[in-house]
Amino acid sequence: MGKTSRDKRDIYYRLAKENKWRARSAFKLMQIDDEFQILKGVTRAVDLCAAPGSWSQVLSKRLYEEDEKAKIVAIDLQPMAPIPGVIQLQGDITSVETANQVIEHFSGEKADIVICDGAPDVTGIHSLDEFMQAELILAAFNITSHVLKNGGNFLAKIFRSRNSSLLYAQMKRYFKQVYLAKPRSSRQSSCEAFVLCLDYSPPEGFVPTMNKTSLEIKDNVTADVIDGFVTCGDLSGWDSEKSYPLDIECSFPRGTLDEDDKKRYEFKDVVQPPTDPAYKEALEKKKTGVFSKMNADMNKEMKAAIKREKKHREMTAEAAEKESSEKGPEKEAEKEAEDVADALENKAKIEE
Amino acid sequence: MDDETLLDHFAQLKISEGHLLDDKVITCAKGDQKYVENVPHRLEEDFPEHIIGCKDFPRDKKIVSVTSRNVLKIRKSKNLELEEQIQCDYSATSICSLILGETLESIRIFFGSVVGELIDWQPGKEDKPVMRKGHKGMIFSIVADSKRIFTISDDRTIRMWAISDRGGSFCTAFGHTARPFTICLDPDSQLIYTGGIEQTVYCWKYTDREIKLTRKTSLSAGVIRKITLFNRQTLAISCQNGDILKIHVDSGGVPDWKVLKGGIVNFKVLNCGLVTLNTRDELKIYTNTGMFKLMCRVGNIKHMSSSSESLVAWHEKQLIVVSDILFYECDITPGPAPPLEEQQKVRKPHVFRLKLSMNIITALCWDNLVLIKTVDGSFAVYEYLDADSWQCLKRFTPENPSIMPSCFAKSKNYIYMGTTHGELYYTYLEDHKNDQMELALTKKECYDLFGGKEVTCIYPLKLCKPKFMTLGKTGVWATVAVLREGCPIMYPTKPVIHTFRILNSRTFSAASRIAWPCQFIDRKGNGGIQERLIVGFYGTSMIIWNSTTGLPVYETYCGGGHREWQLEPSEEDPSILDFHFIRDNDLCHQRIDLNSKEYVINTAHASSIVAASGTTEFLATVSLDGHLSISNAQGQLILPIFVGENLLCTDMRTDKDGHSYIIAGGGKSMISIIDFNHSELESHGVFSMRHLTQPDEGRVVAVKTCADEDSGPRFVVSYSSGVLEVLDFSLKSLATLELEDSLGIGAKIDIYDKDKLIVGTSGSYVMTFEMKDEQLKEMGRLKLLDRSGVTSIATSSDAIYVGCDSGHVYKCHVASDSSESTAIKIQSHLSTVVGIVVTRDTVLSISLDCAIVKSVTSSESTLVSSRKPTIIDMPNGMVKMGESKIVVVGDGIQIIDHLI
Repeated sequence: MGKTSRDKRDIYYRLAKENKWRARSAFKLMQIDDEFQILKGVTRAVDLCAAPGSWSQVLSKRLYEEDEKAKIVAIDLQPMAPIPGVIQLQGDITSVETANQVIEHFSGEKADIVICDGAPDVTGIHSLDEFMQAELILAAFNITSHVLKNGGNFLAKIFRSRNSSLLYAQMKRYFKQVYLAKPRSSRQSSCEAFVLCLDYSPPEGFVPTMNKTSLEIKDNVTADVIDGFVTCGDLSGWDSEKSYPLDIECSFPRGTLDEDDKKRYEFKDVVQPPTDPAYKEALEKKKTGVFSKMNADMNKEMKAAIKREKKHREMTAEAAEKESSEKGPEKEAEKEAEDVADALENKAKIEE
Repeated sequence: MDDETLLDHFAQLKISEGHLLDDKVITCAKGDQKYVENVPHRLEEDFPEHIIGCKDFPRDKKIVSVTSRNVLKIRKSKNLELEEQIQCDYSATSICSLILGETLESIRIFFGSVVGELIDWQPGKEDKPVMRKGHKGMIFSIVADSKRIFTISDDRTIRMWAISDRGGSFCTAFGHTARPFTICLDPDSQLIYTGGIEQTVYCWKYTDREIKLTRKTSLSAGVIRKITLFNRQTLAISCQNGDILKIHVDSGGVPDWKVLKGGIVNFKVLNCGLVTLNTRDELKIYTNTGMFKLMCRVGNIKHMSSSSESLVAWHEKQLIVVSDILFYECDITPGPAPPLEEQQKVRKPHVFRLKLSMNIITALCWDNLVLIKTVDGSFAVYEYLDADSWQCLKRFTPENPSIMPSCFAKSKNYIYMGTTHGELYYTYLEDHKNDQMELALTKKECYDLFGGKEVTCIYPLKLCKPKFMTLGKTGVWATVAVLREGCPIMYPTKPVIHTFRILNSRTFSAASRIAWPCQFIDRKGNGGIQERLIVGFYGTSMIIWNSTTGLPVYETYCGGGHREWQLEPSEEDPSILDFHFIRDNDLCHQRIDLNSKEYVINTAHASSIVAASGTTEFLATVSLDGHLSISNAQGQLILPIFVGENLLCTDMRTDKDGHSYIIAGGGKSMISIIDFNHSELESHGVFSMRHLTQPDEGRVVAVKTCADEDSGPRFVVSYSSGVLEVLDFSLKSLATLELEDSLGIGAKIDIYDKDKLIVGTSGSYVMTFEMKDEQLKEMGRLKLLDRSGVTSIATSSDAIYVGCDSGHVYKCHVASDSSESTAIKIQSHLSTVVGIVVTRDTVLSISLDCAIVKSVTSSESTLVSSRKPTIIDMPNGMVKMGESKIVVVGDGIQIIDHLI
């Protein structure tokens, strides 16, 4: 990085790393909580799709550190580094078994809040990514319908794109209030937002199921379905769009920093890298130099092919020469001229 | 074009050929069934399920489709009426599929799931599918030949599976280092092509036992989304940014060389003959009248150099010039062409001899001019017309006697000369009093540009004002303009002053390696668009670059030691280049087909477009990969320019006199100003580009151009540090202002009334400023109630329109007294508003929910009148072009004609 007095990266990314949060999304939950007080009085919380665990970290800090009786269950398919006060459940959120395990951990009681910061592995194919996100929220809702108590709250990340209006309408059927929350730590240029559903009250006769594939809404949906778009976080706080000088006070909320710390400023590394990515084996192969050997082999093979071809040409040329010398010597100039003609007027031959 | 093979790009929907090449291509390329208009039967579902494959079963008169939820839907071919729907007993989401079988009875479906399982399902025969395991990450694509299935996955592997045994994969190939998205099969050649984030096509050879990487072809055209086979070795590739290109991949074979053997050290292929210089110091001249015949042989010649239509050879005092330029035998002036037969007769090289009184050190030729440096350190430029008419145009002795010329050119009475030490000299022929050759640029400018290395090419442009382009050995390419004050004929007493200004200079560092460019080739490219190519060498390869993107379009291995070479478009077909070069004293010839890579759709961006700006005639778009592209009103690319990485914002403005200014900025704190004259840009690609870097201000968030009639164009810039700055044309700072912390940063800016600035901040304020007396004076501010940041802004004569992250659009009046300021909500979107266009009576806004909302305004009210979905999936902006056209940009460009 060049000489600069400002860190051009997102302030929250930086703060997250400096404060040992596993991801900057920790700030998003804190800011939503500051606005809506959704963690107030909560004793049983479920974090879906928890890895790498920044939201569980917040739950641990705001619930477990306040009251050791608070129970937090974090579910993910991926393994996750441990967090104090958080019960980890490595399982699939689409299975009833997982739901039952959650309730077991809560000694038969249902959760006060379910949160989900999960996003599908983004493929870059927008329509597919949107679909997968919708599927994920649906799955999150399905398990929520099993584990959430009546009057409980549900918070999930959504991407506000082509078809998201349907989702708000669907949620509105099961919750009394549906807000769209956008923490200041979420970039304004991103379509990410959080759907906050308050006061779970399913319609009468509703039986929780894991197989629900659509929430049966057919009406035309407009922006009015949501109860409001709420920007969370203090406007005078950090702005995710802004770049700050390097020597800012680096704790959250603002704390103190001594002069030595400022001098020692360094770019910090990721707190919690992925534990078991799909490309692990490929990465290991790369590290052991298999790929560079493969490239070298490929180039070697190509060079050999060129050499072979050259030899072949020389041989055919020699043979042709032999043949022509048998016919009798010709005038040098003419022969040369023929060669030239041959070399330059080869279009016909190429076409053959 | 073979539309069948392209269908795959269009999510397997049949589209008539006529629609492939107009603007509908973008529509179809997205594969979203909703937007494929012009098909007789189409289907819209209320709750869209993602279709991941479909197949026609003509024998059963059915069409089947499969979805991400692993559902098989069977429909009547005639009207797409749903007949049957079968749910596969598998719960994870699938993202790709393959349907095998010729009839519904024998149908067999493979799903590739997000968790990496390959689902093998025979819907007619079994209830439970077979899960075939192997991949560790999601499967992106499945293809098959008659016996085997091939899959590509997020775990960066290709796996080969037997169709028959339903077991695990029996072969795995590693090689990709980033996510691969697509796999394509050529069963006849047993080849596999794969590609993805690396922007490189991998070619693999497969047998029953193994998959082996044989070749990599780097494309630098954006993330590869889909590869399909046109025919053997021709691939159709679609990229994430909406581009589609056709490339020819050679399977790693040997370049096709034709060789003239024996002791050749230098050569020149002329239209009407061939000249070679051999190791025995013989210069041989052949004529070309159907056959090459030896015309003459000159002994004792040691040196030779050539230009495109002539060559010069010399030794000691003897000088020989051989030229292609047609001087008719009886007529010494290059006049109108005689009848063809006559022409055939005279089609032979013209040979001129000259004996000097002194030994020659070096000689160069250009057109019908020869530049000679002799042992006494003096230079002379001769013009020849025929064997008897030699005319010395200029004779001079430079102050530094050791300079060696490397290239020269004449244009509009100027002679320009480049040296081996990276200096540019010039002389003005009309000015007879001055018999010196002078430095065109200062020593420092020369060094900054050429780094003390050889100037490899000077290329005058055919424009009314003298301009030329030049190349340097350090991989630099510059355009230089000459300004002249005074005239030696009309005002003989006044001195003539020449000023040379570097309009722009670019390096080939964007192509990730510095090479040695030496020649320009202008040719008619695809679609008749004039293209300028730059040819040079890197190591053992000859590389042809697209001059404006700086990206290589062709690369061929030609061995080392290629100091003598020649490359030119063939007479029959401008896309075929004839490449002659010397290798190991053999003259080699190779044909180069530039059509091996052909863009069907090209935006010149390698990532999605993040911002745009439009005038009546031009559209400027920028992307994070650092490209700014200028297109015409039809969205056709005129010029792509590599500006610098991480571009985020741009603005363009056109003056009355046909001059335009573009400002662009982004993540690297760099502001770039491009200005151009319309005709010069369109005919010769000439533009001027300057940069300013402000490392202390963070990112460049928003830019705006405005004009001041007295002082010329001005530029307003907003940085992520919260600073607003006004710059003049010379990039000098006129005024700065730092927004208070609580206001956020100036996220969007606009101008009204020439000098009034409107700023929408990330902290949800709308502020107005007056630019006066080199100061930014705040006139008023308005706090929006919705507390979300301003993400788009536009002005009309009587109001300000701002769009917010919340999805709301407000019509605002900002007064100096904040209690009189008003904001009325006029539109609501479901996502961030990314663009607003205002005309006299309409307001259009677009948001990330992919809808354009139109309102009609009157003095009393603003009413929403329509809501129209966009084709672009992730719109990043919307701008107006001219009076009736709007352009939506994102991962592609959509031009909408009649919405206003």
